[in-house]
Amino acid sequence: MAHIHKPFKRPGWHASKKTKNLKQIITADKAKEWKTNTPTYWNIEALPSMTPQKKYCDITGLEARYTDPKTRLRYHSTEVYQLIKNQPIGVVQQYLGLRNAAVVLK
Amino acid sequence: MDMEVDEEVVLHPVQTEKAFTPTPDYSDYKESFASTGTPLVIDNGSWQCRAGWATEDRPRLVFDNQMAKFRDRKANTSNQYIGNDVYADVLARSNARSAFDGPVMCNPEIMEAVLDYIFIKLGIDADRIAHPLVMTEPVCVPHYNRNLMSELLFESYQVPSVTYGIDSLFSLYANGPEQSKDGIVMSAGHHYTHMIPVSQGKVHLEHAKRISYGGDPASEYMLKLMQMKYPTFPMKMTTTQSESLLINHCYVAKDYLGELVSYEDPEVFKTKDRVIQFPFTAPVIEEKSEEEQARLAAKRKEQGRRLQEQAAKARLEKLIQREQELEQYNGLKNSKATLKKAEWTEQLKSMGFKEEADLDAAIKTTDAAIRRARNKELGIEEEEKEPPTFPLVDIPDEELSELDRKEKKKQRLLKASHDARMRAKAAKAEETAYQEALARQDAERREKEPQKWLEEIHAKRKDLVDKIKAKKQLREQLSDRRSHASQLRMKSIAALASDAPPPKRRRKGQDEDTFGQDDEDWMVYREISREDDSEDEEEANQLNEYEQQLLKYDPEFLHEHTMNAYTPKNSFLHYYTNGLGPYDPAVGLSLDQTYQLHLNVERIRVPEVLFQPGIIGLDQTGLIETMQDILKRFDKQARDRMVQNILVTGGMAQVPGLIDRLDQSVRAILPFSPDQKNYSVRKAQNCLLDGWRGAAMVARDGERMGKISVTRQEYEEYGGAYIKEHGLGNAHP
Repeated sequence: MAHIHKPFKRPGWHASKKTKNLKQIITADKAKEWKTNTPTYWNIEALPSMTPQKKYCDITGLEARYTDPKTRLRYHSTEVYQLIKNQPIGVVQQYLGLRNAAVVLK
Repeated sequence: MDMEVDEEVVLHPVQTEKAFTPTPDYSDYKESFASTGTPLVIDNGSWQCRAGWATEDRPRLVFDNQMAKFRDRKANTSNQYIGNDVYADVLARSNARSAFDGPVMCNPEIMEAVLDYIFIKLGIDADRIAHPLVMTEPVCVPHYNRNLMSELLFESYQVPSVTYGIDSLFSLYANGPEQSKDGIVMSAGHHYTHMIPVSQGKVHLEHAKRISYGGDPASEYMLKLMQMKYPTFPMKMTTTQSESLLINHCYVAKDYLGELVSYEDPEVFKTKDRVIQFPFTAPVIEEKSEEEQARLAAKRKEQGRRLQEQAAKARLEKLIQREQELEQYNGLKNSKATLKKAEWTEQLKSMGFKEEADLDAAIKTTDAAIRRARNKELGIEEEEKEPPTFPLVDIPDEELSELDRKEKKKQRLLKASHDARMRAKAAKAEETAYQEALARQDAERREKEPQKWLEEIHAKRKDLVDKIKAKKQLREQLSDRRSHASQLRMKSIAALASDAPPPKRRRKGQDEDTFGQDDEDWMVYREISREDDSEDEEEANQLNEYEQQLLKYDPEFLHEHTMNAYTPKNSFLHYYTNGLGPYDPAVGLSLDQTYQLHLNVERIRVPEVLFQPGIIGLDQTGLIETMQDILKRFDKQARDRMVQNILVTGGMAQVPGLIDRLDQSVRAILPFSPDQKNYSVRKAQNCLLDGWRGAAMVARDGERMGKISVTRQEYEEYGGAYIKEHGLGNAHP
């Protein structure tokens, strides 16, 4: 692929090797002045929901009727609770991480 | 082979890797396109790239938008694979990179390689790309990134003009150009899901919304769910595999909560559970022929015989050595009479003895050893040893010589140990007799009054079970510092550790410490000790014994009644992970079952995130709420026009049931209309290709193109981020 002749290219021109990731680009963009109401990459993001959220079991995905006060895991039934009780803390955190609720130490 | 196969279980093979299918090379450029100035259309998506000539009805090239560039150390070559060619090579597969960060192109170097690939595959051999280009870009792409792309296209390929547009709007256009003046397009893409309102031909990007969920996050979520569900799965699952699970097995539930409840019913579950079989190789069990087995047995026997022979030889050698020693000792003993005393003592010393008694002892032990060895060799059982006698023990010291007195001391010790051994033996025999008698009694009682006997065993078992359960509960409570049990324990510890006398008033004469007088007092240490499992094993054994007896003699007491019984049929968690197929708790999963995934609740859980992003902890509105939010920003007339044309496009739009669910949910957010359906939700004709097709339709319209494309001159004048607004693309800065 690299050695195939590409006549359609302007000789000697190469794309810049320097790259910025999207986060850097957006941070730089945000710093600029924008008219209000201009749609931008960051302000079209959907807003936080205003409706009450249904809770689902962290283990099975079924509707969660209870929350374990110790681990904060939501669970569906006593059977699932028996399972939660014997989970090591790492697994509990992984389950919480599935819905972005794990304790993150910085 | 076991031919009994459960017909209901359908195994779905997993798609482990993307198959490599070579992309064709086209060679019709010169005769068909070289001098025509036919526009080129590229739908440059972060997942797939689709490219082709605007005059055709579908893109010539559709490939995964990626590149792998690496050095092969062995062959000392640098390799570059692009698009689906990446799947042709194992190393390339692991080195694949995308030009995209999220939905936005950020790496022009990879992009350049991908564009080269497109032009080579199309067979373009002119000195420049002399074709107007129509290309898709993300919603509200930052100017920086559009500038990167324009620079690449104008500088490297010297294209005459470029038109940028948004893929989902092109898709709306492709699904009815005359209707595309009003509507809402919902594009469930690879990284994100966008919702864009169009009113009277104007794109209202300021009211557009983006939900951070799409095919890629969904595959990731599916992967994580599966990893959590099967933590000991023998293979490493990949996103390619979870993506295939998403594509082949997921669906959107019409009524999510109702569907969840239905999964709890084993009968319904059975119809919805999908079993995914991963490839595995069964270990080869070598079947040996009878002949070979016989040969091996003979070989083992021969080896055993040889060992025995060797041992016998060693024994014989030792015997001979001993006999020689004995002969020497006896010779020495006999020579005592003939030799002078000094000479004899010297000989005695040279043989390693201190005095004559030692020599006698040596003669005795050697003699006994020889006799034993001989008997063994000849196969004679050693006759029962006579009980040793201790003649000197009962004779008073005064009547004995000094030597005998010493001997007496020795005999007394020997006697004591002998007696102790005898006593222990007797006690053991008594104990076994007692146990046997107990067992006999038990059996008798069982035969006489079987009902009563069973009741007793049941009662004993129940007591034990209660005890074990109480212990378990206590242990659980102790793990929580604030529980009552923990506080009691802390109190006990404090009381034990305090020096001060207990504060309770006591009657006179009772204030001295009496701890320990009662054996029960010591139990306090057991109470405060956390790891007390000394009795656990004993109790478990006892329980097991009771349960075995009950299993044997009580026809109503079945295996599932035992305390540790595992009853898979009643356990949701069991069939959630292992399905409802045959399962023997004693054996566990079979080999093919350990390589199986059961996909059930996840089938609806993963796509449901589109409607309830809270499931993955994403603090954004779901599809319906977002639409409600958007509709609120328009007046009634515009709203009524827009809801007539709700179009769903993008890869995720192909998930079965999505349109039905949207249709049903949109009704709920619209004002009630009794007579007719006043809205329409439809799926794009081709969710994946319509973006390209719409762009091609625009590209074919020469007059329109003249108005909306950015020429090379304009690029040089206004810069790379410059575009003209045309109703299907982003807003002008």
